[in-house]
Amino acid sequence: MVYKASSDMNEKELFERIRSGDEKALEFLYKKYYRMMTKMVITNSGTEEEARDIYQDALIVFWQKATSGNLVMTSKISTYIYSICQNLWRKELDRKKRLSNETNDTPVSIDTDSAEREKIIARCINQLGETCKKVLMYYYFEEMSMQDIAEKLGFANTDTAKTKKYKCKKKLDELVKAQYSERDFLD
Amino acid sequence: MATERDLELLDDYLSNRLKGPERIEFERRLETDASLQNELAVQRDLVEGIRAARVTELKTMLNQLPVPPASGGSIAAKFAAWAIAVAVVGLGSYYLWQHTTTDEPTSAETAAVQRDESAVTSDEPTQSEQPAEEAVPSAKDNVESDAADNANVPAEQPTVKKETETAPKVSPPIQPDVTPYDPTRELETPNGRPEPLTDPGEPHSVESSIVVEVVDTGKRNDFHYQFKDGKLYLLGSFEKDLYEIMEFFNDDNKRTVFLYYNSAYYLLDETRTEPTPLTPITDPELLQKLRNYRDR
Repeated sequence: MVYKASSDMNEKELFERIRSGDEKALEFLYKKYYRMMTKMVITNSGTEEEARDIYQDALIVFWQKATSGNLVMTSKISTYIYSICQNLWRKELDRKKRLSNETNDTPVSIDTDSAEREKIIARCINQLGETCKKVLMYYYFEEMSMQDIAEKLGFANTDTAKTKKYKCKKKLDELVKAQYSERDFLD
Repeated sequence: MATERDLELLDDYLSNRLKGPERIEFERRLETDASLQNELAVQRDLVEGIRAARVTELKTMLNQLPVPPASGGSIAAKFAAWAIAVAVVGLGSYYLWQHTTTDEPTSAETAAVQRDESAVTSDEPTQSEQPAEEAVPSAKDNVESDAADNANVPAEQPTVKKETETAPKVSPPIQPDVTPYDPTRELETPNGRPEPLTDPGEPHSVESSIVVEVVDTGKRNDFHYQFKDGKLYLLGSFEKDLYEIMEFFNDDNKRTVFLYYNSAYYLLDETRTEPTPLTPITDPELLQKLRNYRDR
């Protein structure tokens, strides 16, 4: 029996959709390569949970690079993501090895200030409206252009997107600085 | 206290939008300006916090998606799965044919299934280096070329062309003809012993011969299909989502076509030249076989 399959997207189209920040394409990609990528970790001493984490991290690295326009594909998408998975898993194995080599009485230093600051910021981000969150995430994580943000969020034009981003960032800035002042995090 | 202009520059600096001489100049200022350094620390926290929140959001989204069980389980589990697959072939094929219209005797179909399995196995040398999950067509206009893919396509194309040229205008009744996935194939080596599953290498890619066109008909004939002028038309708002066409050829080059869309499978009858509603397949055995093929 001969089995053939096709999707409505070839590699180029899939990459273009990823580049434009199409989350449906990301979901498609995730499901498509799930077994292939997790298999690499599982067959190299990883658990299924670790495999899933590594694959998700790798896919998000790929997503971020693609949406920010910092990626020119010279290989298949799967080959690229696979190599990220391999690198991430190697790092994780090294980290585990280092941990197991350390003696139990080694003092563990925890930066409590830094952890506290992270919590404050996460709380403040959650206080923003959904559109504000999206604008800031698209701008700082996906590194999208104002034009793309305006199109994605249905703003009238680029200027509206710019203004929205400015106001949202200012709001977050104020929320965070108020909390930082209370805890003397501001010098 | 940082000025509005400083905040703008810090923003561009942290979001990788400040480039060239402007960036160098700004970094020089940062080295000597303590208040700017303090503001940079706060703004860096903010930007990193936003990025971390986005990563969490994306991961939450991915975690909600249904995924096939990760491969690489124990060999015993794989053999158990293989035993189930054999049972499906042995017992399930008869059941399957009972649910489909057919012109041919049952015994001939059973023989066809057996021959089909050997045909799949004979492809193994090409596929052994390639994970079977890959289904994206290796079209010539891809972002990059891949020698492995190019080597595969010509080998498969004659089958497709032959089918297209010899297919009668009115297709014979649909005979879903799918064979369960044999998980032991990936464990077998020439010496007959299992070997560890390691690098899956490059993925496998085979392109369907069916030309598909999506026509947004609005409310009229939404979620219908039809075969017309050698094309498959999907009627409705398919363009916002992703679909896959699955083709199966038996030894007589009879083709059975399925649509995969939004986690459901649909049998496409090639004799339907008028808009026909898409009805999801509910037969659990057929569904399992289709899932197995799609997950490979």
